[in-house]
Order: sequence, then C-alpha cells, then structure tokens
Amino acid sequence: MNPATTEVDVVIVGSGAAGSVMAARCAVAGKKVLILEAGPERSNADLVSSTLWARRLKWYGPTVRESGENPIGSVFNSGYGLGGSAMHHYAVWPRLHHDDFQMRTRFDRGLDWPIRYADLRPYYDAIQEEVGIAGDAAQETWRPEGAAYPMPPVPVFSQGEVIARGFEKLGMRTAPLPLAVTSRAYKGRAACIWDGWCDAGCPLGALANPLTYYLPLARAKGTEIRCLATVTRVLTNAAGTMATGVEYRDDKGVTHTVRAAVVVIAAFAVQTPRLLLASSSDKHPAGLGNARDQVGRYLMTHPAGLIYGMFKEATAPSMGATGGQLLNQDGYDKQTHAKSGAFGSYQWMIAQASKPNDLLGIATTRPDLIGAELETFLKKAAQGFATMTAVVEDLPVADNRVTLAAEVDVHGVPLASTVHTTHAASRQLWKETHAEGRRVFEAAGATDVWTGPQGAMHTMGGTIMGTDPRSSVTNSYGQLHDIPNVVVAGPGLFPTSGGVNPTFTVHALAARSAEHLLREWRSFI
Amino acid sequence: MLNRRAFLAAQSGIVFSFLVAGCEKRATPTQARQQQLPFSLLSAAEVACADALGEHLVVGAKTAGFSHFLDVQLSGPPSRNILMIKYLAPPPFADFYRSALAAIDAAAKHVAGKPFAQIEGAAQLALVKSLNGPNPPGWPATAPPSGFAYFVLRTDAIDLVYGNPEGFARLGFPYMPHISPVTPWPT
Repeated sequence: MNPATTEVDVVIVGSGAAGSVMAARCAVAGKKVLILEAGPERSNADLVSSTLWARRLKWYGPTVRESGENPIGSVFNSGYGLGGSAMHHYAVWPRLHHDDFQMRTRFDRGLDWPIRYADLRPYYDAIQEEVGIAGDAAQETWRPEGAAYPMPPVPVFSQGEVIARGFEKLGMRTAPLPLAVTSRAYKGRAACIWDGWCDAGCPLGALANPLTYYLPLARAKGTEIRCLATVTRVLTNAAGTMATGVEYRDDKGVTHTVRAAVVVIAAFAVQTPRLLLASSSDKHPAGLGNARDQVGRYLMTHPAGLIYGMFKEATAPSMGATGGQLLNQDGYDKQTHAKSGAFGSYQWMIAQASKPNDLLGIATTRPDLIGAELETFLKKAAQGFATMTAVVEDLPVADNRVTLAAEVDVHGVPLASTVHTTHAASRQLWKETHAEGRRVFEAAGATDVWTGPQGAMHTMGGTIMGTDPRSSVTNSYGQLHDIPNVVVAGPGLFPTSGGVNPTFTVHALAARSAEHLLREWRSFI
Repeated sequence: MLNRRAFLAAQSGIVFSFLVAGCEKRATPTQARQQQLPFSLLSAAEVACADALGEHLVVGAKTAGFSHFLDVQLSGPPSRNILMIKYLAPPPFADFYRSALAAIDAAAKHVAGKPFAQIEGAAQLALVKSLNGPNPPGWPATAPPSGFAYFVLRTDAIDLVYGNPEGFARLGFPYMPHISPVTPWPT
C-alpha cells in the first residue's frame, strides 16, 4: 500500500538556519508548509553541556567523500537533526562588506554576486531585530551601514582584555564581537551566563539557533515538521519545467510523496547539490539545474588561522562565548597583503571560550605533549591560556566542487564526493594572519605563542547565485535558472565567501528569498 | 557466554552493563578488567596495546577504561560513534583503530622483538613519541600514517580522561554546565 500523498504549498528540505527562516516567513503569510528533516528531532533538553555529547549534533548522515589538499571537514562543520548545523554554530554574526559583493568588478578576482550590499541590508536589519544581536555598531568602524544592534555588547573577560592589549600596542582596533547571543533578556529569552558551551547547543535559548525563534514561530503558524524524513529526489512535471514536489523515505524505509507548489532545498552546501544532482531525469540527465555543469562548483570553506598563547596573568579561558569576545577587521581590505601575493579579507575573532578537550580543545593545540607533561600544560592553560582565530576568505575556484560518488546510501542515492584545495592567494593570506597573530600575542605579553594547522571553517558555495545561467545555478532569490519553483536556500548560494561568518547572511538571504516567493506566489500556482 | 548490552555510567564512575547468563551485570572499568569481562570487538592483543598506549598518552587513561571506551564505541553503529575519528575520516572506524594498533605492535616488534605492551616502559615511551612524526621503522605501509593514528588515539584518551566534570576539575577548569551530562558520553 502506498502512503497517502501529502499536498502543501511549500515543502522545505532541511530545518537549519535557512530552512527555518523560509518556513517561518511562509507560514506567517498563511502558506501550508512542511519541513522534511533527515535527522532526528531535537529539543533544548538534548543540549547537554559536554563536548562528547555535543558530537551528536554533528553530521552523521550518509558519508561524504572528501579529497583535495584542504578537505572541507563536512562532519565537523555540518549538523544533523532538527535545527541543522546552526544548532552547534557559535552565533558570530558580522555582515558581509560592500566589496564582497563585487569582487570581479572591483578587483578582477573571484565572482560578483547578483545583488549588492544595499539589496541585503534591509534583511540584515530585520533579522537582527527579530533574533537579537549583541554588539556595538559604532565601535565596529569597519561595519557597512545598518541599524544599531538591539542589545548591548557582550562582556569582555580577562582573556579578551589581555589580547586587546596586543592589538592596541600595534595600533590596531578591537570592537565587541557581534553575537546573536542575549547580553540581556530579549523577547522572552534569558540572558547568557557566558559559560562557553555554545558548541554543545544552548538550552537556555540565549544563543539564536533555529529552536530559539524561527522553528517555534513556524510551528505556531501551522508548519508541520517531519524528522527522520530523507528526501531522495525532487520531482518535476513531464516537461521538466516545474517541480511538482519531492519523494522521501521515512525511518522505516517507506517512500512518501509530497506535492508542493514550491520546493525549497535548504540542506546545506554539500547535501543540496547532492540532491539536485541525484534528481536527474530524462529531461534533466545531469541533474536539476545542472544543464550547464554548474551544480556543485565553487565549494568554499574559510581557512582558519589559529593563534594560541600562554600568559602570566589569569585569562579565565573558559569564560565567555565559544565564538569569542572581540572583533578586529583591520585586515578586511582585499589588498591588505597584496605584496606577498595574498588576496582577500579576514577578521579576527578574539578570545574564544575554550575547553581542555575536543577537536578545538586546548589539548589539541599541543599534539606533541603527552602524559604528565600534557597535564602540567593543561593545568597551566586553565589559568593563562588565550586564543584567537582568523576567518580567512576562500577565493572561489570552479574545480572545488561537489559531485556524486559511485557508492550509494541506504536509500540508493549516490553519496556526495567533495574536492577542495585552497586558492594560492587565500593560502598566502592565511599565512599572513599567522604572522600578524603572533605579533599581536607577543605585543600582548604572551610568554609562549604557537599556531595551529589550517582549519576548515564553514561551508559555502556549490549552488551559487548569479545573473548568468552559464556560470551560476540560481538567480538572486535562489530560484534555479531552469526551474523557478525550486528555491535553494543556505550558504551554498554564496558566490564568494567574504572573511566573515556566514550564518547571518544565510538568514538575510533566506528572508529576501521568502519575501520574493510570497510576492510572486501567483506565478507558482 | 557474556554479551555486553549497554554502556552506562554512575555518579561514582563509569559503569558497564553486561548480560551474564541472561542477567544484567554492572561494573566499573577497573572491576571489568579484574573480572575479565569480555570485549565485543577488540582482541586481547589490541586491548593490551590500547591500554599501554593510552596510559602513556594521558595519565589515568588505562584505569579510566580506555580500551573499553574504544571497544564500546567501535562496536556500535557509526552513527552513534563519538570518537575523534568521526570528524576526520569516513567509516568503517573499527578498521582504522585495528590497523593503527596492529601497526604500533609491528613497530615495537621491529625495534624490540615484542608487541608494544610487552616492551619496557622507556622503550614504549620512545616509540609513542616517535609516532608523532614520520612513520617509524616497521610501520606497515597499509596502516594509517603514524602521526594521524597518534593524533586520533591521543585525542580519544584526552576526551576520556579530561572531557567530563571530574577531568575539568582535575585540571582546574570550571565546568559550569547548563545541563549536566548524566553519563560521560551518549549511551
């Protein structure tokens, strides 16, 4: 017996940052919305304060094959379950800058976006009011124009004060890190208590993850969410010109069909192109939206510049937010280090709250230490450790991409295969951040300074937006060029990565897409 | 015949649950070792190697149940695995650990003619330190690179010993949980 077909206005694949915003906007407008989430249900009670428990929030769906000199770290950077990757994100929410949208026009490097900062600014402003961001726009002298933050800045603990001293001695500026974390009670949410468990998910609702605002709003307005529902293909009409819905498997292996006027694919930067490629048909033999071999291309991940230091004074390294306390964007000008062959933007996230263990834990920063020496080091670190991280722009490269592997998952869908090698100019910029970071920590008075290997932070690209169907997958609203009622949402849309964390921009883009979708609704029915 | 059913923890320490002749039996890692309770996946040689290695990597790893920790995690489905390998390589994860432990034994035999657990402590320590670099002599070409194996196993031992409220306290880190973990890791 075939399960009954579900009919909705909008079916959304994925319940993370992008999917939750799309769902809330559409549901508030009165649309019948269904979210299909491949992973399990999550609630605040699941967000146990433990680096080991937190690993349940990371990707454990179908294996992603990774290659290239700088793999994207898909398991660490992706989420699994209700709320998606945003459940374990650090809520560092700076905006992209003007130049990020016009890289090709202004510098003859990278790609242009089909929109400008001014197009996105109203959505940044609206989202930050809804979710709440703590910060000080006046102190962020690098920040493009926009509304002031609705909450006062996050507190600066001793780790931040110590590192800021180094920036100041070098004539560099710092400002409070813009965080989507409550620095005071905000719209019914409690204020953060700055205990550094952001990576494990915030059960207080102080950190803005999808469970905090958009998913509850969507549910309150009638959105249905089905978890353990893995979408296996997007369905189209016989002509292949419009999507008719999706097919998904439940946790018992039963296949279901959902009919929808609009299909939103918000499954993050690897699984979204995978689903498009796997939805091939006689009308779309290379996959949906892939007639010009663009799906999966321009996969990006920020190279992370990791700086560590030990100080004589107490730094209270556990206190604060995992994302950090302070921001520096003095290096955001694309050509700051052009003489060395570097190109692109970077920012410093300063004074991250740190734990002794885990992949980003303090112990991992000194892999040479074992036994009693390791314990001595960690006890010392509990008193005087400090760290900061550079978010380095990853220039888009067409051959960094997602393709389908020969192997298939339990549903018979080919696995995703990714390849990523950092652009030489980005790699050089990452090296420059190490040199600068060392100078800052030395100026701050660190007794010991060391650095980490190139990290892979965030995942972007793969379904980039653009004006030309020959070189992009979607238009500026995320609609596939060839099938306008398939809307891609998420960081996969980014043609360039900028040197900032992507989640705020993901929210703003999704809000813009939803507004367009609702405005043009009649064209979809 | 003994079959382990679940892996739980109690307030006083980590407790394993076993099925012994159809009845549940619970024991701490120390008790499990004393009672020779079985492993689901690791062989006796692998257990010996893992315990000896773990103790060099992190003081207290052996008594904290390092080999049991690995065995429990590797015996379950990859989707529930929380070992560091999850972040760094695709499944099957057991293949990685078994290959790495066998390679450590092979390197020990190359220099001392005995498996790792049976060579002197100073020689063990020297070999462990050498893992954090190019493959040592005797390291099989088919095994994961020694530096990678060292990194993963070291991080697992650190997770086990320090990645819980007791470990934080031992080092002087305040734990400050929102929701305290009732067990050291998900069961």
